Amino acid sequence: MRTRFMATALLAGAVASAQSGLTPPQIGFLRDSAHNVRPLLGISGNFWLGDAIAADAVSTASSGSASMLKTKDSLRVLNALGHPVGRAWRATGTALFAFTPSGAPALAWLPDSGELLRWNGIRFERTPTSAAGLNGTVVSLAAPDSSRVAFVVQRDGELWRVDISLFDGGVLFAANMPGAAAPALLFDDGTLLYAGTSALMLRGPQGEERTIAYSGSAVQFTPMGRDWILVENGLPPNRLGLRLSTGALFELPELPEATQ
Amino acid sequence: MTARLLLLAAILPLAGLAQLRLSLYDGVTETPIGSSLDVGPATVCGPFTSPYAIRLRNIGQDTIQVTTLEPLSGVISLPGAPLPQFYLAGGALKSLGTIKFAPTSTGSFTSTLTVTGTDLTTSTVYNVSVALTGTSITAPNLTDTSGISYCPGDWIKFERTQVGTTVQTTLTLANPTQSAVTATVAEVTPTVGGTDFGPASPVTVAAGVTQTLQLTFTPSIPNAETGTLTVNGLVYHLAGDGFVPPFPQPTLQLSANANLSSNQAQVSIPLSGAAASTATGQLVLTFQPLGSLADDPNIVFTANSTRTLSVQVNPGDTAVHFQAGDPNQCTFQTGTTAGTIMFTLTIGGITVHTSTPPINKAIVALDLSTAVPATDEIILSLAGFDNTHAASSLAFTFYDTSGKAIAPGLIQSDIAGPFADYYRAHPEAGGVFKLQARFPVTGDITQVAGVDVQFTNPAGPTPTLRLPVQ
Repeated sequence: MRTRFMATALLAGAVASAQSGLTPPQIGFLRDSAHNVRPLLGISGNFWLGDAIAADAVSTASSGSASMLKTKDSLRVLNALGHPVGRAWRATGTALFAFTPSGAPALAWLPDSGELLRWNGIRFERTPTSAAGLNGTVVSLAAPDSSRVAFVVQRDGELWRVDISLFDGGVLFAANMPGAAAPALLFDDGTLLYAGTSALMLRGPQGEERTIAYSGSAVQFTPMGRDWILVENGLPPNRLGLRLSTGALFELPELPEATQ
Repeated sequence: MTARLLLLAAILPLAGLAQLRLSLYDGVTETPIGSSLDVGPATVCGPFTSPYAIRLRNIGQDTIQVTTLEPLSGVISLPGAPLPQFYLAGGALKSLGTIKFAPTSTGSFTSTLTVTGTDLTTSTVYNVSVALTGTSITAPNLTDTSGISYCPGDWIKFERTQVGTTVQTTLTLANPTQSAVTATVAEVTPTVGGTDFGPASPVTVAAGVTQTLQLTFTPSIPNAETGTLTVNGLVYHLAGDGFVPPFPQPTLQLSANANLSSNQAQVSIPLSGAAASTATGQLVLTFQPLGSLADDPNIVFTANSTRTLSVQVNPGDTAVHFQAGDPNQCTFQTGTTAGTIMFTLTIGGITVHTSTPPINKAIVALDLSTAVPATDEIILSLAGFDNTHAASSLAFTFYDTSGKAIAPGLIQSDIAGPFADYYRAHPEAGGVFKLQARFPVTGDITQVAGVDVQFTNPAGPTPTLRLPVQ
């Protein structure tokens, strides 16, 4: 069959229609300095923050198409518009998150309880994985596929990758990550982002490294949108946006109240 | 009768005396002088000059011709007094200058201040006299580190001193006398906030002892000030001059990318020299859009998402510092609208302006573009900016896996209306947009391999962008 587009009129209609079309681009969501969760809008070099969709956030992460939010006592999933989805999970403390390769919510690690939760599309559920077998502090986690979780664990100052089965909690793989140090962020394809000396380092799955010039003092990396990582700094400017595909770093706008 | 005449004769001189009156004048108040006046003390090294003026006043109604006024010279004298003869109208006064006591040796000295005048109406002769006494004492030996000796009445001058800092003069005070002497520093005209000369506490130097004396001057305000160092009643004058150096000239420096849309540029503010004092101020950003374009709210400082930043300079700083974000430089977004960004810095009484080179109209720039196949359509997503806010057309051409254009070939769309509506509805976006277009496909969608995209705005068409469909 010959491929053909039913095109011209439909395109014009799509562009002109109220919902098509043209919107301000939204990168994702982030936690601002006042611990509110806000959409980050704009493009490289030109950002603005939208209205807060949640307050008192302890941890949050966004893939751009979905977000996970941890407040002081609950954990929940937000859709692309920032609206709650499914049921909340009651839990204390902070959380670390992982998304599927397509950006859907996948896993949440709760350091306080040492539990790993899996999002089933409606609610979180416990997995057999616990802190007991990790023998260290979880720095990051990723969801390479639906059967395993890949942890980055800090053991005596070294980072280790530890993959654990989501079915039985058994250790599938464990390897030292030489030269890498916290803070670090593991991606589903095995890429590791970590802070080197005067640079941010992206170590690919095969060990190849890419250097991103950086003179700050990173304390945390958090996904905040497709292709975007929030780099929280110990020194001003406190919040940078790293675009993974280009390696470009940008200052993220702070709100007036955050500087007072 | 004889007795009465004698009495009258005795009274006349008394009445004559009363027509001329001598007094001390301190600049504000006249104090009548009695029959005697102590002056000094003084030393051979340094004469004593009274800080008060002597005034002669005619308290009668008739004009008096002053015929005698002395002493005009000598150990105790009035060297500045007017030479007789001169006239003094009724009620008038004459300044006789100040008394100077310049002993040639230690000991006591006396002199008599005498004024004689004749009433031109009654021919009555009036006399007034005051016994002047002064004591010459042994002076302490006061020298500075360069060997200069100071006598009472001399000026000890401090170098010009920046307000808030302290300059010190080291003196050596030798006390050759048989008893302790006390050195006291005072300010002649008190300064708000306390005395600027030091030390604050008296210093005692024992008999026969030589001791270092540290004098200080710490000006709290910018002006010339005088003080005194008094050693056993002998007065040395102190002079200081406080100043505030001019605020160094700030320069607004912009990074080279400040005239490019959708950039984050930096402002730094070096000073022409080190600042001497603390100052605070503001750096204000304003934006003048090109032509009739609307303002762009994303042209802000990233440190606080506003167009005003507080700035500060501390003593010793060679650059202005920012109070939010990076203290050494501030970042601002150049936005996505053509125009000019201007900066005004106000600090230390200085206002400085600068502006970016014009941010000219530019072709549409795409930041993130994707073409994703769905079941029966291609979803095209284009995020970027148009700093003219006036994109007019958009053209697409889809290609198959062999590189051939897919029918109907070039697809053109007039987007002027939709974009104008979008920018009106979303003033918060500046020139930023995300366009999503869906292209229904009939046939095998896997054969669609890529799409060329081309925007046109008043700055011209973009280079054709080939997006893979994936």
